[in-house]
Amino acid sequence: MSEPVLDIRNLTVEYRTAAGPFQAVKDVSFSLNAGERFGLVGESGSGKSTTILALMRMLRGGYITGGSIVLNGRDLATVSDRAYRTLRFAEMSLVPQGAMSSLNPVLRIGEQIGDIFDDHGVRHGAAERQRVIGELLGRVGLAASVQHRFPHELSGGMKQRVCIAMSIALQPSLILADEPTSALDVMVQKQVLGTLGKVQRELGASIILIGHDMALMAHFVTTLGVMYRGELVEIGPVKEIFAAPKHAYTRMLIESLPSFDRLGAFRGAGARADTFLNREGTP
Amino acid sequence: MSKLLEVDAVDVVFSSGFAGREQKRALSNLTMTVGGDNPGITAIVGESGSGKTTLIRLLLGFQAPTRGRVLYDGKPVFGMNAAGQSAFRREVQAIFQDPFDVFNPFYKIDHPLLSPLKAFGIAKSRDEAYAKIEKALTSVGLKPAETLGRYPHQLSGGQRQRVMIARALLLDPAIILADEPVSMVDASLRSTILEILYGLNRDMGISLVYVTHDLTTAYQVADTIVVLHGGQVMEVGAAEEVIHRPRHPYTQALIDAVPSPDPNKPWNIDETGEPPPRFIEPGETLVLQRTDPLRAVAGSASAGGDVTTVSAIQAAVGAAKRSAA
Repeated sequence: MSEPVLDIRNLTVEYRTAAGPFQAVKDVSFSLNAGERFGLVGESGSGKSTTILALMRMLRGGYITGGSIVLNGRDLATVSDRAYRTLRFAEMSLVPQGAMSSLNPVLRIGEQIGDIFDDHGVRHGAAERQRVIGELLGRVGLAASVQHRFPHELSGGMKQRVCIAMSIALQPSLILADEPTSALDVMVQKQVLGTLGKVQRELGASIILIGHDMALMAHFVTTLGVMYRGELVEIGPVKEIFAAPKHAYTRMLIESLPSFDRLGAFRGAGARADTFLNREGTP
Repeated sequence: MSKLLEVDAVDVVFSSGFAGREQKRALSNLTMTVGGDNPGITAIVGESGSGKTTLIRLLLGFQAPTRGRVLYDGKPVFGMNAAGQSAFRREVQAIFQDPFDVFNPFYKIDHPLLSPLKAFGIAKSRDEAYAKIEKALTSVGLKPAETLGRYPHQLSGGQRQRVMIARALLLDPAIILADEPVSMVDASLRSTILEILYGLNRDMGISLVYVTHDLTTAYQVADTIVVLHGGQVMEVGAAEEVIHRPRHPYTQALIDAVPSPDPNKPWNIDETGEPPPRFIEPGETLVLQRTDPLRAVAGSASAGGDVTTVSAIQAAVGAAKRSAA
């Protein structure tokens, strides 16, 4: 099966603003094979989240004005809003950025996961539902008893794992992860990413990981796309991009990475970032 | 003679539940020093819940110690008189994590820069105030013409964070307490902010406390690194020593959790999934034992050894830095 899971061609997304239409995503094309890990990096406002929201048809105030999105051989433009509801979670799921604010504070974890099954017509008996959810939580390294708890009783890393468990509940072929670890500290970040990688491998799903931490990307994804001001300025195998970045912005992202090999001297990397952004006219 | 901000054998305990029966110790037996004649950069590194923010609140006088004392210029910070309070609030400045939350969206950028000058009576006229503001903005790499007169939402996160540094500088502080100043700034602008903070210490002799969960940036700017875990200091020492020759297993675990920017260096991300081991037994209080001239590591109180404090290590690192210069 050589057909890609996801094929995005010339995607353009516009937001209507008082000053006229603003193109947040310009002519972006990429495709993903089954089981591939794709990383999308870029500054805030570079259009990476907009791309993902367009995929999920969750844009607020934005419109796809050009291009096509094909998921598992089906052109998503032809899919009705009602059918899209079924498609989310079943074929394509989202791990949101702020797990803290994505869970409903007044529902127990088990009820929230159960909603996904109910919405997609998956029926279980009460005991079976408990067992299924328990197993799901087990796959992301949480105890089955977590389903009886409320979100406020869990730590940030646990909540993020609950979101990962929800994203794999219906075994989608594509997982979209929007900065899933940016609110977590380093130790938990590594565990959560490890969990995400493990379930993705077990499922054989493809994954798009969004972020601005190049170091994380270096270790998690196989293919990397760099977005800058709405355009996909560079795309290729992650190791090749790190070895020989072509675009000035990519080079700057890699050079500004802090590391233990470099002491106090800032090698002017910061100053370079500044002049680069100013020259390009970023506010 | 610069004034000292001292934390002397402090415990902070939060009580909750019926009649305060549930107690949570946020900081335990901490002694450290900021400022003085020997300005340095001390990084406090730890995870969420390690006590980092409690420490900053303690240093700012927003949190009273349960045991021990916090002193500025020899006087307790908590419950200071008006004159002492005024000097303290001027000379000790804070920079916070979120460059979006700290601005009032209804006021132009000028407002948070002018009001401290007014409050402390530093500028005699409007022209003098603006001259000072423009100088401060320029020193953090912002163009006054492009910054003043704008509203906060018109600036990027990196620019807003630099405005906050400029605001701190206006008051000519001796000490700056920075609580995760770069964690919400885009990756490409982090080094710009860090470079500014580093420059404040090197060029203006301002003492800095840099609180972070990111060991790499701590290593880039700090002289001394303090590793905090569960309210206790696990390891303290010169940055070079702590990062390249960590002695405590917790420090090692923190270092291992940082991804290397080299994609060919293995990070073993797929092996993890189990929770990390426990480094402190519940209810256990550790003491710092000096293992090297520039380092101390946490150990059990009964083990004896050369028991020391963060202050002592900070002083030793400062002395070594001066003799090297």
